[in-house]
Amino acid sequence: MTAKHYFDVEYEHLRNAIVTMGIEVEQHLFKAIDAHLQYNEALADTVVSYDHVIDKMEMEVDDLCVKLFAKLQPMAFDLRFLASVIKINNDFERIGDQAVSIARHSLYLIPRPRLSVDLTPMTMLAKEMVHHVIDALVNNNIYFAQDVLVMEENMDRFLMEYMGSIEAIMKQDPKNVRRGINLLFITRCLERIGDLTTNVAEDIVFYMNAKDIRHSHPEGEEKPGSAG
Amino acid sequence: METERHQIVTRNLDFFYGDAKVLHAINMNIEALRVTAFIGPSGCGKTTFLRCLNRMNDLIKGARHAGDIHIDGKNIFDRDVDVVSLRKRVGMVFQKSNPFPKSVFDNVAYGPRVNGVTGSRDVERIVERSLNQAALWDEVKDRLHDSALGLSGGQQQRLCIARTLAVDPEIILMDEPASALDPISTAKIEDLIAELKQKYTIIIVTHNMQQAARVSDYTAFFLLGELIEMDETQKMFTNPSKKTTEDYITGRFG
Repeated sequence: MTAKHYFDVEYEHLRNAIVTMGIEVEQHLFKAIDAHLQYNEALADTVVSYDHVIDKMEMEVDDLCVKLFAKLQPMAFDLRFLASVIKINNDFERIGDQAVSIARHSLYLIPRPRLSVDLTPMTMLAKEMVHHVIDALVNNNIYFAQDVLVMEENMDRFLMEYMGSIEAIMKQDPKNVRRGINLLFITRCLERIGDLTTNVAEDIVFYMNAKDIRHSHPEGEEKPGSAG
Repeated sequence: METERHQIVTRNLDFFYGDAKVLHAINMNIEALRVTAFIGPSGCGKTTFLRCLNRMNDLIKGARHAGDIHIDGKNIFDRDVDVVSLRKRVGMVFQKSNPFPKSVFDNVAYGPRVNGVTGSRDVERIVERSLNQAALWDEVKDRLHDSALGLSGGQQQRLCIARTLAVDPEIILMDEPASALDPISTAKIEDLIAELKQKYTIIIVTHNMQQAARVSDYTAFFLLGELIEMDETQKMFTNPSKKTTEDYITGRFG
């Protein structure tokens, strides 16, 4: 590229919008996780009530994409970037929804005695994956994106481990079942966040390298009920 | 790699206007019954190359070439090639429609008559078939004997396509055939191209990237007289191999 064109300003505007969306979703998720780990009811309420802001941002980014498709009729990198942003935007919004679910299940758990299950390691990984993929987006860095694909394997392992330990606690006493189910739902949300983050990473590799790597890495293969 | 599917094979084609070399060692294989688009900035040599394919440049004083162009295995520059029959096989449609100042019927009948078709029924049949193929018959069937100059710009361009089709070409060269037309007429020409490629090999020069993306199977990018890149159109417009191509098709060139 030898000169800055008017349309580069428009693409930059879109890039800023999707990065802002990603950062907002990241904050939203961090609050949901903190609310769960700290059993902080007020913080969980904040997450639930903030969801409409994420939804509005998603619609704005989508609207911008459609306008740019019509106005700039993109080709090559621009075309791949614009098509990917539409998908990334949707995945970010769905990560936001998972954050709300974590907050809602935590709101059930918070007034009740804690079960002896600590989700901290799994939540740390979810945070790291989301943070890493936003870094990849900001820096157009496919290596960061590929790291996320590797992390997703660990997320699947966590899910299996926690399912086993929560099941054991539920078997110990029927009074544990409702709380156990809520904890299971939270682990499921974290695992879906891993899947959605993986989708974003795949889209970054696609717009950077024009390679569709979905379903081509072991951890990217379709799993029953995966976020797809 | 040249294969049987390639109807036109160009090898190391150089072209000169006097001392100025305007095409540099063009090597290109063009598939039969496909649409190939030539893109590139003004003066890049795409039209010169197009005009080489039916030796239209022979008419330009001081123009000369080196290298070969084979069509169906025969070098079109060989001494025994009859240029008139070459141009009958390789028809051309120009940027600006150029109907003769004659009736619609006579415009289309001109080529067959010159080529020796004399029976009026035969000529009528060819005219109707050609106008049908050019998707113009329904619009002009009741005014075949009116002046062609009374048709709209889009109709005139389709008339020129009908005139080209009337002499049974195998290959049709189109030099920016829709650049002077409104979007509706452009869409009709593009529909026509999609229809015609069932029977004809089509090569189109266009400055409109979206048009190249819409109508062509293959796209070739020219710059400063060189063929920079040629590939399947879908690949060219989503993931070109060369940065220069990427810069050009995304509008960041220069």
